[in-house]
Amino acid sequence: MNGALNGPGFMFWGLFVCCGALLLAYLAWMIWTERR
Amino acid sequence: MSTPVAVFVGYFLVVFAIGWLSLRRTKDESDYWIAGGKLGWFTGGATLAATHTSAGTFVGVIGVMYTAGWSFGWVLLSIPAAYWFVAAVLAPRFTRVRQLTLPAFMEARYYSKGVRGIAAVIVLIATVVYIQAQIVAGGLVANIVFGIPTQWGMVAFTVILLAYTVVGGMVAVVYTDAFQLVIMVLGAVLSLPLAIRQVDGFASLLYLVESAKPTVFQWGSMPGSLLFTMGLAFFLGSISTPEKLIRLYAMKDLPTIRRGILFATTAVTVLNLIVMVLALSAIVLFPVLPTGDLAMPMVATAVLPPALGAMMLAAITAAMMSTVDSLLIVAGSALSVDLYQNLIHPEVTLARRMWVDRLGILVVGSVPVVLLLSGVGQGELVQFIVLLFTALMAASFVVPVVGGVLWRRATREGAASAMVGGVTTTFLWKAFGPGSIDPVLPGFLVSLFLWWSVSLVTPPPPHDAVAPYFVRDGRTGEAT
Repeated sequence: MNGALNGPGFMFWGLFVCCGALLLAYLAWMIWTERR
Repeated sequence: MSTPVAVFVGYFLVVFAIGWLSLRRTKDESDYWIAGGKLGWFTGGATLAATHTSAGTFVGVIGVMYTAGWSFGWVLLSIPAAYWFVAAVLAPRFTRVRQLTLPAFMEARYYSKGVRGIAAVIVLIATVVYIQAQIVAGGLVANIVFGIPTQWGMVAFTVILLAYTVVGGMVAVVYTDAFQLVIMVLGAVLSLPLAIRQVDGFASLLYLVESAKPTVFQWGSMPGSLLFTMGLAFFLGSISTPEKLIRLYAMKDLPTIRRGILFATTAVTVLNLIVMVLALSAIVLFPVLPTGDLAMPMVATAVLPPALGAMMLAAITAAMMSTVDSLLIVAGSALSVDLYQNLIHPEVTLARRMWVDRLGILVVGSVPVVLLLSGVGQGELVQFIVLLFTALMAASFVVPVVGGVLWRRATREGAASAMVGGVTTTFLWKAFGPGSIDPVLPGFLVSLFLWWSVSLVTPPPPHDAVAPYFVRDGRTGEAT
């Protein structure tokens, strides 16, 4: 893996975005499960 | 009294006070091992997060990141993914019959005291190794704060830990864990802006860290196969380590577990991200250190003002203690409940059980420090020991536990071969296999293959053993 995937632009900030997205997805699943 | 010493004395006093207060709430074995199974989402989530966050996070993650670069950080994603799996797939089935220990679950599902015995022995051995790694980190902190030799620091930490864990059991562990999580979050959150200010701000940090170490934001700085298998180790380890599974029994119901896991996984993710940014500042501020494990103690002592530095070191200690106390519960219960009371001396009276329980914790808590003082187990990077423990747990328990509640055809012979084969493969790979692949992958695959193939060629399990896990009417039993 190289090119655009290297450097802080993707590697550093991308990790924060992915972590946030995963936690939000869990929250959405939890709410959906409890309303079902 | 100097500021750091005062911070630590205050911190230990609170921990002791919580420990002693818990004694009143510990009335029977269910209280002692799973806090009576009544925890709410906050206490349950806090103890899960505090147990997950170990010296491996505060010392080890920084150490590996300092040495290998930011690509290691992406392994973190496997943790929230794993907890999601636990909440959605494992917990609804695993908690239908509430047990006191993980080996007790193995006996119930796999209708065999032998399977329970094997599970208990694996838990005992792996836990001793893991506790050693944490105690080494604790000794380093004591050396920095109090100026005492590392070995005395290790002994002192063990004594403090045993004092409240033996007395108050799981109740003491849960409430001290909640307090220790607060210390960890405070230490990390307060340190971050100061460390960033030392390197002239966030944008400057990213620029300087690339200048100091050009490979830090390059994917090639760690082999891709190692990153993937480490991520797998974290994923499987977050699912199957007994100290986490037992917390599912300690929380009161499924909605509580779902919320507790959201709280825990958010706390763990945020703490890890902060610690990883601190690792970057360590690369800029201390470009040449003999070992990565020194990076965090250096940030705490040389970058932060004394009170905050002490707070950070207290956070590292809190991380270590909140993990080791949970492991003491798991290992102590494996020794006294699963091995002694179940296999060796089943007729032990109820009145004596609580004393046997406490003695179990005392024994398993003393062994690691005695081994360390004899020179066994020193010198490895903390995070690599954490990874070995995780690999051992993943290779022995993921398949029988997760598979056990998903496939009713799985048999006791299959479970026994999966555990023994998984552990053996993990050790052999660690000793002789290529270092570019974490031992968890071969261990897990061998375990999976043996569990599946041996189950198919052995007689199917009795209906009574599997029924509780394959009916959809919720919980069917209580602690045994």
